[in-house]
Amino acid sequence: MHRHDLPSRLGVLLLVMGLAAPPGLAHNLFPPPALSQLGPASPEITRAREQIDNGEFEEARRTLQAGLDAPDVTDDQLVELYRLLGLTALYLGDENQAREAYEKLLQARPDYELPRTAPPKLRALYARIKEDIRSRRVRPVTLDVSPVPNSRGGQPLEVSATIQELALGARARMFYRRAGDQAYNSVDFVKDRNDKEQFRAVVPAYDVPAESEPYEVEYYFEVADAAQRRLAGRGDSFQPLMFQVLPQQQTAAADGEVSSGRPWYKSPWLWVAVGAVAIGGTAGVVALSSSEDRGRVPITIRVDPSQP
Amino acid sequence: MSPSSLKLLPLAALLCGCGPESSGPTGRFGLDVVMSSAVANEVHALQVTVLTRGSSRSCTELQRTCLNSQVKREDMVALQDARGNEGRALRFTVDLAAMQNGGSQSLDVDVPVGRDYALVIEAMAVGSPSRFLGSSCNYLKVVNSGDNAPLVAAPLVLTEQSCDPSIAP
Repeated sequence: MHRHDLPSRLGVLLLVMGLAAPPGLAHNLFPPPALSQLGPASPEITRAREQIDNGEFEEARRTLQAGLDAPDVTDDQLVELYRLLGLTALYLGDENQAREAYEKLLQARPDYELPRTAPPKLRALYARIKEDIRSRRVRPVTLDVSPVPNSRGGQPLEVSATIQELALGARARMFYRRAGDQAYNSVDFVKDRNDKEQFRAVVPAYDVPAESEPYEVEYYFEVADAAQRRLAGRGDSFQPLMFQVLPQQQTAAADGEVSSGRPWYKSPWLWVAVGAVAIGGTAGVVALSSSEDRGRVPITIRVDPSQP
Repeated sequence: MSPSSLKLLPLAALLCGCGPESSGPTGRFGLDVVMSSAVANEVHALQVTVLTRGSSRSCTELQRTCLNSQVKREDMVALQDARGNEGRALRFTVDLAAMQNGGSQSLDVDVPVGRDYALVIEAMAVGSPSRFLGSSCNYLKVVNSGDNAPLVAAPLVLTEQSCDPSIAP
């Protein structure tokens, strides 16, 4: 053996060991990406990670399926669930399921890229799937809807949205609840007869009654497939958007005016103070977690020849 | 160490994932904006602007015409591009040849860490003054240097208006 061959052979040997090693060892050679460490917590994600670490892939697959079937899955959780499901399926030799999982992941987050620490086999499969999707021109669902403005109570509230590439069996809904309530009500977006991309949802008048005082309604929009998996949305159940229902007589100019008869916990000033503390705390965490005060937003521009 | 082994080091580091974290866009959210052919035939530059209080704005309205006629200058966040150029609006010349051959163009915009933004990309046609061809408006819930919420970008379709979208840096 020539002396200069030794380092290269060692490198190849390390690589082969990494690929052929049992899952536990493979995990050490390919440490989990930063995304999974910082990613959204859910009991299923945490349990599935442990099961993958222990080589219990069938159990992990069942856990992840249960996680995907759970209600109120956020976009971040969805991405992580599909990423782990793809990884698990690959360990089990089920490339079809891995492909399906990564296609769903790309539908939920079209710009998602695997971390560079992902195993090469996974990265190769992922690159192939992305290429396939591009060549088949599979396009993600897009939801364009404006925030609901403050509205008068006692009358139906109409919301319009533009939804493109809505898959068969998928539903678009607006979820809403009076601020402070636990459960959300929902209304479906219904397609406009004249324009297949225009949709309309109507919140009935009895759900937004006029009262002597203004009150807040929390809401979010969600497009979900037949299995209730989120495909697109604005806001979510944990971070809803909000609008105010104004009393019947109150003019728009009087927005935000506070009655002296309001209980202390409904005073907006209290919540402004709490919000300021919360934002301050979050900003502190953001500042601590990063030495930068700027975040980079990469933008990719493409031409779609199918759109005139 | 021999030259051949030196050549292998970067490859081994890449395959083992032992190298430093990528400083590129990987792992962060991005906007994948699709531009209609009608816009692509005329577009000369793209102008990127980020607005504060995103959730209080109507993207549908903002996309109808030039942004500079709808918002105040103080609503625009100071941005920086990868080369260090700063401004309330960043302008990028479009590489049309690459895009019309099925390729794509990547733009990097550095935004101050924060919440509740709206990011607007305006397509501009060449001329004096510039012409507005259309825009893509997108809500950004949060921007930090880690992983961010996923985002569905609005397509950039032709909405030609007789206004000059130019915003001074």
